Amino acid sequence: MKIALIDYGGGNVMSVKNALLRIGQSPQIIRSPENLFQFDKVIFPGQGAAGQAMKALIEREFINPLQYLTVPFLGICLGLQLLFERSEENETEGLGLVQGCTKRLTSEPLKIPHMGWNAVKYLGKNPLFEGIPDESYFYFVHSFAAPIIEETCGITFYDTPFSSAIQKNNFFGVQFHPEKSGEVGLRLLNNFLQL
Amino acid sequence: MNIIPAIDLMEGRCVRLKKGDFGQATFYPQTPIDMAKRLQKMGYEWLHIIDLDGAREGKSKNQQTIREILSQTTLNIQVGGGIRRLEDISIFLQMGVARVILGSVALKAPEVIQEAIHRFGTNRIVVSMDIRDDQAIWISGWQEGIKITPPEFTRKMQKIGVHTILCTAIECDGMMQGPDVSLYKKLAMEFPQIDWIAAGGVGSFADRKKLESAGVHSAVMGKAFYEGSNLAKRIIPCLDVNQGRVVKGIQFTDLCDAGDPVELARRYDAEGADELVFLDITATSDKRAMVADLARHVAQTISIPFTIGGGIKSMEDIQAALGAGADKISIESAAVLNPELISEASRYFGSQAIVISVSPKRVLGQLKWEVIIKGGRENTGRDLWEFLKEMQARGAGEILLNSIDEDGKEKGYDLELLRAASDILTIPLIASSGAGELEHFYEGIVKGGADAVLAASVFHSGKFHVADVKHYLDERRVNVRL
Repeated sequence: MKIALIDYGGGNVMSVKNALLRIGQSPQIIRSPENLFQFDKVIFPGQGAAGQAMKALIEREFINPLQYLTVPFLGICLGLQLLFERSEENETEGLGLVQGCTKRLTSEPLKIPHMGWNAVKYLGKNPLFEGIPDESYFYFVHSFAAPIIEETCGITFYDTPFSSAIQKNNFFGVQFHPEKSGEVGLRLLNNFLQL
Repeated sequence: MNIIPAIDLMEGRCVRLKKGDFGQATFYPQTPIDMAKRLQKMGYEWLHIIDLDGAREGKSKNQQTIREILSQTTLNIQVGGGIRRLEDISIFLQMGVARVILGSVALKAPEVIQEAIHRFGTNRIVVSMDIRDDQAIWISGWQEGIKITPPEFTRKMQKIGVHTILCTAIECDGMMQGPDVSLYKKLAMEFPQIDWIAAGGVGSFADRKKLESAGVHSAVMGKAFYEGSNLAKRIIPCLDVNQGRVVKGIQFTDLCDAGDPVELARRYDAEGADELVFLDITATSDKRAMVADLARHVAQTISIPFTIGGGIKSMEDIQAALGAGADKISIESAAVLNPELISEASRYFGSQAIVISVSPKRVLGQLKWEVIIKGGRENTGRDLWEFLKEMQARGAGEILLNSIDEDGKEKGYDLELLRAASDILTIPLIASSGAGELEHFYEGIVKGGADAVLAASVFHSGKFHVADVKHYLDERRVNVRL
């Protein structure tokens, strides 16, 4: 299986690569979209600020190829947030594949970033969570979060509930870091690769 | 289990009160309608509304809001707060509210309950019973206690036709320590015909499972729902590494090489550690390369987050460690000597990657601590609180709080130090230094207010496994990832 890991210069590509290696896959790190259509799966590990990430994606001419992708796509953390129309962070336009705007988590009385292990409650059945018990704990690190929308398939509670997993057609997004979520995280990555 | 999310309304807005004090109200940014719609979208079928104006003044200012929620959602709504007269009950029920919750009136004028059941049906009447100890029911905003035991009261209510009782354990409410499961179990066993609704402290998913097995099939979830108590407290083994070997008595007999940090990391990962901290104390000129090398090996082995620290002084050091796969770096002496580094690093790498490790020493006889650096060798004379505030303002993501006074003693964390630090910090706090018994972890979290607890020797010596600590905490209703 050919797996592309998009490196836009800011993400924690190595962690995701390590996790994939652990489940017996050898992903290819790509920095330009030229061969994007040759891959069976595309993973976008996001970390850092939305503005910077979108700028890098635009400069590297990823926007269009990503929007027209037909193979399964997994956006991680910022990778989920950028699937939305907009992000409040740096007032950034996203890829616009799903409707809505990601917003800053309100701090008082909570600590920001939302960092640590939190539970994901499923909304309906999703192949990403196959074999993983509902309300399992995953590792989160983020200060912005996506609203609950039609495409939400996992919810997590922090200051208010937010979308911790979404799916629209071949586009999947998770707010947590499966690559840092121990066994269940590896299972989720494996599930994605089985799609 | 039927989870009933709760919202408190005041003047048409969602509000949260601290310990029932009207002077300490926090309004939520979302409108009640948005909140209700979202809850419906999330699959909830019921909504529990407390009309605080009604409770306080005996006159509701929220009927319009409730009407709007009813017209814009299909949620079943139960309303409580100052409802005492048949007319009020009738107004709410005619509006389309599924059931009303009656509190003080049940004790003071049970005939009203009886009449309401007769007129509207028992399914539309919920009696609430707020318990502080086993001897009394509390009413009127928990200001007034009436001497009657919960079973006596329940028997009385059952006799006049009540079917549904909402039981709140006052001590658990808003404390996020989990519900009093044994209380509900007793009541549900003695009164199986009553449909019990639990309230107070119901937060984590584990809580709900326990309630369900106790025979309670509905629970009102309030504060936890808004405040995200599902974020687990973290248990963090710490590994001191010198020349590529873990130091501080490692006594695992089943490891081929007990001193190998990577092998030990794998073990702690398997035991359920939530995170690991590596502290490289090697004194060598090619330190940066050694740290990066360690980070690379660990990153290839475990799939939980880890922090690496020890002599990190520059942006280049940080880049090397993070680039090799560490999730966070921890900085100690350099944060004091070159605080600008913290600002620059958090801007560039993000706050979440920057942990400040600090080792305070108490000023004898005072509630005051000074920052010590260079492995305990140099007292900077800096006031700890002022230093922590500066680090937070500069963008530090987390504070790892050691204690020179308690380190290595295994007598427990310095709880006064932790509590004072957690009161001033808005970023996560990791308790370190002093864990020797299971209860120390519990105290660090519950009394000290720590978000994570770190220990080294008790784990390395095999005195406890990470899982032992987690089970201990779980039994005491601290939310951990099991």
